[in-house]
Amino acid sequence: MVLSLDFHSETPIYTQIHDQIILGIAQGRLLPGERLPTIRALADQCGINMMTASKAYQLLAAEGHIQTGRRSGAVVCVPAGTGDLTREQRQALRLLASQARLAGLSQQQFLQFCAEAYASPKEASP
Amino acid sequence: MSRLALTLLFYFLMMPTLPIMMWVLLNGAKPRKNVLLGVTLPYRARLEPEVEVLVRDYKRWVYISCAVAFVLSLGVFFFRRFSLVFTWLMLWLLLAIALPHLPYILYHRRLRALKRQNGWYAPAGGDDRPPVLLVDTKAAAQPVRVLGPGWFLPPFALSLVPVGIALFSRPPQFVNAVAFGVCALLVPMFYGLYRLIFRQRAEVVDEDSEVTVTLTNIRRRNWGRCWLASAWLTGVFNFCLWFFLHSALGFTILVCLYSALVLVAVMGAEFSTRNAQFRLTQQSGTGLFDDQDDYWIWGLFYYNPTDNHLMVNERVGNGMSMNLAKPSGKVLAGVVVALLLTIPLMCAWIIRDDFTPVTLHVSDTAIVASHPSKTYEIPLGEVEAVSLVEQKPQHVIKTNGTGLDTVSTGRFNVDGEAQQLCLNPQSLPFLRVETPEGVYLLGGNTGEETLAAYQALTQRLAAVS
Repeated sequence: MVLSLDFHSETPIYTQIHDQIILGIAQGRLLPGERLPTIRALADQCGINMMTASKAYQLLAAEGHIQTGRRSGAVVCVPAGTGDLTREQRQALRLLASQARLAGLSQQQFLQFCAEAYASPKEASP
Repeated sequence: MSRLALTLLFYFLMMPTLPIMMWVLLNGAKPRKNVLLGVTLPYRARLEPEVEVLVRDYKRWVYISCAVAFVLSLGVFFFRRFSLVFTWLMLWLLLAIALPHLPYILYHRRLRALKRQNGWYAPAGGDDRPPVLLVDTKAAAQPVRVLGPGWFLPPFALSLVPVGIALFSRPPQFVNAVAFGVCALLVPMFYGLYRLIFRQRAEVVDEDSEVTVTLTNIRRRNWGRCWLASAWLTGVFNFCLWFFLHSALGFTILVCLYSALVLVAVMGAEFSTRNAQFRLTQQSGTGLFDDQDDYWIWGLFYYNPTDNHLMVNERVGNGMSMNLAKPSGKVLAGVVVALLLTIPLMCAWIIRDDFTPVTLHVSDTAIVASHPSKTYEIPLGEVEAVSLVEQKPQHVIKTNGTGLDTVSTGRFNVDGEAQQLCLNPQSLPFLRVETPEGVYLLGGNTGEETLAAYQALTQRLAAVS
């Protein structure tokens, strides 16, 4: 899978890496068991500090999306669905819904956007 | 070696620069990795008639600029003095590299303007949006097979043999040891360059991971072979050089052979990589593709403040470029510019040496042989013997100093004897002065000057004794 990193964005690079890997897993572009680069290799490829690459992987590992090894890099995990959102995810969704309401979207419009974003892997885009 | 032979030798050593430049610049007119004349274009844009016309005009101007450079190169045959031949060739070398780049820069700018005008950007890009960096996780996760330093140790050891011989010979030859040592240091430098490629980014062109992985492996393999071959060639060259130190012809042949073989290794790797980049990316540019144009000034110089790499891959081919946005990149670029500026300075220095005559005179206390490159002041009290040398020595080999058409100064091996020279080799006779420190061979700019100094010296010595 190809990561697209915008170094002029306000979103930190580790967040961009983290978000795009999650999208990649959800969309089937990264499969369970697929190997990701080591932290050093990822840092070299992105031209970033190893700490930045490490932070992205730590977040992903904490959320259970990848498994990291000292020398073997990282491996994509089988999604361990809990069937529920975490507290932080619920807060983020609540915030997004509030922003949609302030933007003048109706509930139906907002739900349509959510359905499109939840659509099959080949149709959704990062 | 005659003047004409020397001129021809230098000429044919320098001349390959021009066809190489021409080939490289014409090659830039073939799209590779979606890059044409240093501009990234989507597939559809490469088929546009305006682009084809632009490329055709560009090629014509490259041919014209190279033809002008070739004609200018022939000017070297109008000069007789080595300093002028050398100066012309050095300045021509800079011109041969710079001149054909002028059409490249001009047509690169025109193509970029066309790109802007037509909105030919990658899906994630735009005129007002900075480039995004594409990172292929599959290519980045590939295991890297790197040759260990053991492959570079034998040529390094071989290149150190003449250093050891020079240091432990009787008397020790420190100047030769340093010269051989500098050449030997090229081998670890080649190893460093070899390792450098494995820290560089994968060759991401578009979303096709197989193409990225293949191009990356091809580049690493060709780059690796090039530096390994160069290391071995340098080791063998340095070793063999010891045997040809006192043979001008052998030395010349060895240098030409070494240069030719290293050039073949480098150009062979370059051909192979460029061919692969052309073959594998012909159909690229229809979906998401990499576009880093904003970070390449004129398509030639990399400037990216967000990239912490100092050295990055060239956009096409095998080479590398410095990131001029980094402080260390600016310093290195400054060093390169300073080195380039020393070329005209060095030429001015050589011309000064060539056109300034040697002088020889005898004062009340000393013999003084003088030239801007070297001055000898020999106290009369140290002179053991003085004689005139009426015939030119058969074998004169420079150890350390200046050897031009009308000036020879410094340490030489003259018919097997170490001597210190300050004379005009074209003006006989020479004055041979023997002292406890060694033998000096001196002369004025003319034979008359030397004879006058000889007479004055014999009178002074007779008066002292």
